[in-house]
Amino acid sequence: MRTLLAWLDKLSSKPAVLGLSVLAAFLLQTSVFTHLAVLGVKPDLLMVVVACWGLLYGPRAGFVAGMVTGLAQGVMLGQYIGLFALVKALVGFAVGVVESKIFKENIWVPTVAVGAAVLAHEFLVWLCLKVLGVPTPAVTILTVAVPGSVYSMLAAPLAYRQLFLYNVAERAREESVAGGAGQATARR
Amino acid sequence: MVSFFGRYRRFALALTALILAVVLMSVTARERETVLLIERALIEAFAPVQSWLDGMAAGIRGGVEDLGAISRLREENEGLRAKAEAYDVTLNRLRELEIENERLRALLGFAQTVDFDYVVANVVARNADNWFSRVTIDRGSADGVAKDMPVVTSQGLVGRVIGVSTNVSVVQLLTDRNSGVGALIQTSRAAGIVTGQGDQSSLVTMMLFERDAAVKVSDAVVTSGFGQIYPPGLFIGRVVEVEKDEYGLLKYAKVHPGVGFGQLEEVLVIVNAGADRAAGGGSGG
Repeated sequence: MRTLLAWLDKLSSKPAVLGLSVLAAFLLQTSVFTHLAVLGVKPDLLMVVVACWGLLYGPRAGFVAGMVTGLAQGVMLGQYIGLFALVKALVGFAVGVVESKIFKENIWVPTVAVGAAVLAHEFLVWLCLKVLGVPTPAVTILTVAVPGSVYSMLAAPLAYRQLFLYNVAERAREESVAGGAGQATARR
Repeated sequence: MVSFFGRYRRFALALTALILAVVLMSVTARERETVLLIERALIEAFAPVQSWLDGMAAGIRGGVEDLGAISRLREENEGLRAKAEAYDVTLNRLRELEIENERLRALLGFAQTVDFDYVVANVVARNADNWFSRVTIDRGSADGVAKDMPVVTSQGLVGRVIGVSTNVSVVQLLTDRNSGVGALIQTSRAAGIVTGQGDQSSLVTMMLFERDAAVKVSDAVVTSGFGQIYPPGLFIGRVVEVEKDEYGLLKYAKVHPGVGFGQLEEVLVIVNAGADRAAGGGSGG
């Protein structure tokens, strides 16, 4: 029983939840979300999750989430491995930098922030593809990047809410642990 | 010195990760003959879950679409019955032509065309981004699939295999921005290259080699067999628009592919396309 509790405790740790959320987003994005494509454009759930991690936990978490997610995405593509890791890590980091400056409790604020993050991601991917010599006309920013970021904003509240609730629960747990430690010190 | 590295350890780690990503991106930008072990492990591990999720999502979407389509299907059924009767007549004519074709081939001493050998595969996943058009199929080297094998459905050409693992493969679709297929207008034999538009549109672009090439809307486009990958005569799609570039030097045709890429579920991998070309004495696929 104690082992099971310890295992569950480990599973609810931040790195484990980060890994699980990235894995879930990756599996959904490559299967279920392809059926939600409108005019060939689908929401980028992976970038949504990366941006949410950045928004809730700061630049370091945004960077790590972006790097891990982007690498998995590149491997599945079979080419340009590292492209999405680079771009997602940079955007995840940038989103994390604004973490302390935005009001996270209002769902519209992170939704717009996620939309902006996806747009920045798509623009950077377009730029990298240009540098790599892949044919990418400028019009694809309007036909792929803009609709993609708007569509992704629809998925943002759902993903953000789950991670936000985890964030609140984790903070409460940390505070109770810190409070317990403080009381023990005072008693001594 | 130690404190310097201790202080900037995180920054150095992040920078190293970014540099590695750039190196990896440059190294894998070109197509490779082999798939890395880590790629193989990840693709193989995810494929069963992706397949299950994809099947579930496709089922739900199919159910929703079926509900709205019942009345339309009734009308379609009536029309199809009439068409089927007309096709019976055409089929008899085709049988006659086939016999005549065989006779003429024998007369001219041409080698018989080798029938294609297929491996049937299911689409288990698609790429996560909006910039490329690729799918993962549940057949790999263990089933005889190899890099550059053409992939088709009964509706026409799907694309080609670009990455092979033991039990799964990655297929580059015709609509992918990096795809290029030698093609012909079936009736006029005007040659060109069909490429993906890279804007997630369902259309592909055929750049014709001659600016005066005879091409009109609804012309069928088939593979030319020039090159090394695709055998000749595979149906690609139909022309929906013809245009010239702004200087009038090049002629383009917008082609609507025969394959509905959004609804791809099962595909056929042609495993002996090269053998067919060799037997047919063609100039390559």
